[in-house]
Amino acid sequence: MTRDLNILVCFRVVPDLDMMPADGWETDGRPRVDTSYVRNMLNPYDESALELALRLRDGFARLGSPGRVVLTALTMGGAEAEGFLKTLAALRFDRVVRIDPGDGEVVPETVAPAVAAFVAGNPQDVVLTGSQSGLADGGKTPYYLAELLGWRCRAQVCDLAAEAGAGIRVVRRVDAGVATATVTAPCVLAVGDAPGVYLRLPTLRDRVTHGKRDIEILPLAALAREGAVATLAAPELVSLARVDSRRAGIVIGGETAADKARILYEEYLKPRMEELGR
Amino acid sequence: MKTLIVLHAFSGNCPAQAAEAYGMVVRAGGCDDRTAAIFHDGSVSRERLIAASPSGHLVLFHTNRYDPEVWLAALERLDPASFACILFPGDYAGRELAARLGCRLRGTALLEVETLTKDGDAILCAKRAYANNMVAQYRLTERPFCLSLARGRVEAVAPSFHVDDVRELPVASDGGDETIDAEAANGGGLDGARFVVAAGRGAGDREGVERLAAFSRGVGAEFGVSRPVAMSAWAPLDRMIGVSGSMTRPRVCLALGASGSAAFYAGIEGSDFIAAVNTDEQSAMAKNANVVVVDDCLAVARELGRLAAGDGGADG
Repeated sequence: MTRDLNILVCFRVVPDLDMMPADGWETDGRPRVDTSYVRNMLNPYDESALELALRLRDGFARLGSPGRVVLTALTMGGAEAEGFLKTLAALRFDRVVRIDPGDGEVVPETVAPAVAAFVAGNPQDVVLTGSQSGLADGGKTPYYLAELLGWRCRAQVCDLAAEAGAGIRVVRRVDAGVATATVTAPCVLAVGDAPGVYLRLPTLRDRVTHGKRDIEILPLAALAREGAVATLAAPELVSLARVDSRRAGIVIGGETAADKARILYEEYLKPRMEELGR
Repeated sequence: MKTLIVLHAFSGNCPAQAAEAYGMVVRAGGCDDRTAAIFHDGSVSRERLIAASPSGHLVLFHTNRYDPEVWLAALERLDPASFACILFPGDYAGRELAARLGCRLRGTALLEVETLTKDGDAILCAKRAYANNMVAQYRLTERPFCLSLARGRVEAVAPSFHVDDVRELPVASDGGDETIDAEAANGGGLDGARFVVAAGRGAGDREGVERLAAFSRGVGAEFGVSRPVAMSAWAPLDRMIGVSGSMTRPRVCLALGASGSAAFYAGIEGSDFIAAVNTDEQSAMAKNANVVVVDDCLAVARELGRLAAGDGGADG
């Protein structure tokens, strides 16, 4: 790698929905769930994307590449992201940027055009994203980005590795198996399930030395003024209803695990297993 | 509503894709002006592709692999903007194609759609949201509506058509730049399994998961795990059950040490019968099971294995 490799990692801060109490899903008839009282976290797929970007930088450094890997972490959202951006600054992301949507919605149809506009003004070689966020995304953002940028897209990425000559070895899980290829820039890489890939923790020294850098805040409206931000049609959310998946939930009593297992087996499992020929 | 149904025969489930798409348009109604397009590599016979067609008008694209750029260019030959609605299967190829074509045509894309209803010139679509805890209904107004179907959540209706209009179009594609290790293919029997043992983090560690896997083999069940177990590398990724893994619909599911997050539960909710073993009676898994044992999953599995072995159903 003889020149710098610019990698943009897009991430979202999302509520940890596993922490929602059972009665927290009421909507009062409005198509919205109040998640403001549960803790925020990095979207898990995005967390893997951020760590894989750091590993890529480490990998090129080990190869002794003369060019630098320049990492930018970008999110679109409110001030709740700033603690996470500080952590990423401490992990020595070269730039940490928040696009402030103002009163606008944060949905794939607004995020992808904003990121594409950012890339137009801040040229990148690779855009890394998580494959989807937990609310209602469904995974459109990386695909929209590929279309808006006119780049190739590789989805379901589970690992990345640096290769000599600025190539990136991309490992993906696809229906047919595990696919491996060397890709060259520019490209969009969408990270899916990546076992064991969690964001590293910055050292105290890195927090003190690098974590206090200013976060760049770009109002979406200003980004729109600087360059063309594409307009994409977004589906209109009209209603939300709780998924009711409750079953009988009969609790099997007994003194010991063996007692309970015997009842479970004799009364419930054995007849069904016999039907299945087990 | 002029509709294009896009399918492929690369993962061996073209008839299932066709039946889900056909089931969706049958329930929506008014989608009789319909064309089907199937991408295939020649390994499935022409007769079988025609038999799967959810329309009397069929286009066959012959290509050697999935390449989104090539497939999108092929679809552009069908004048996709002239369709009101374009349906794609629920796998990753279908999701990518739906999103990219929707963006390219400046229509509206929605992924993992469970139901489709006409609403004047618009459509209403339902899909899961908030990590599968909620069902969201969306109105889509900008055509074409590019939709990927929700895997395993659309009621299938097997199509049966006299296909009298078949066009075969070659698609230029190269050998690709990826090597694929097919040993690690998804599913591994979980998708069609009739008896599933699913392990969660309550197994404690990799050794605990391996013990539950051995128990599963002993009782003749397919073994699966929750996402946290797979992400901790306690089990191979192809054993993962849930939104980003296998969507199972077994007759019997035994969930051992799984907390029952909505994303995991989505992968077993089609089970006829769910038994859960969990130390927390208040867990989501306990509430969403038919029967619950509140205890340590390893201890219960050990005893279940012993009982099954005594009946000749397990090897110890």
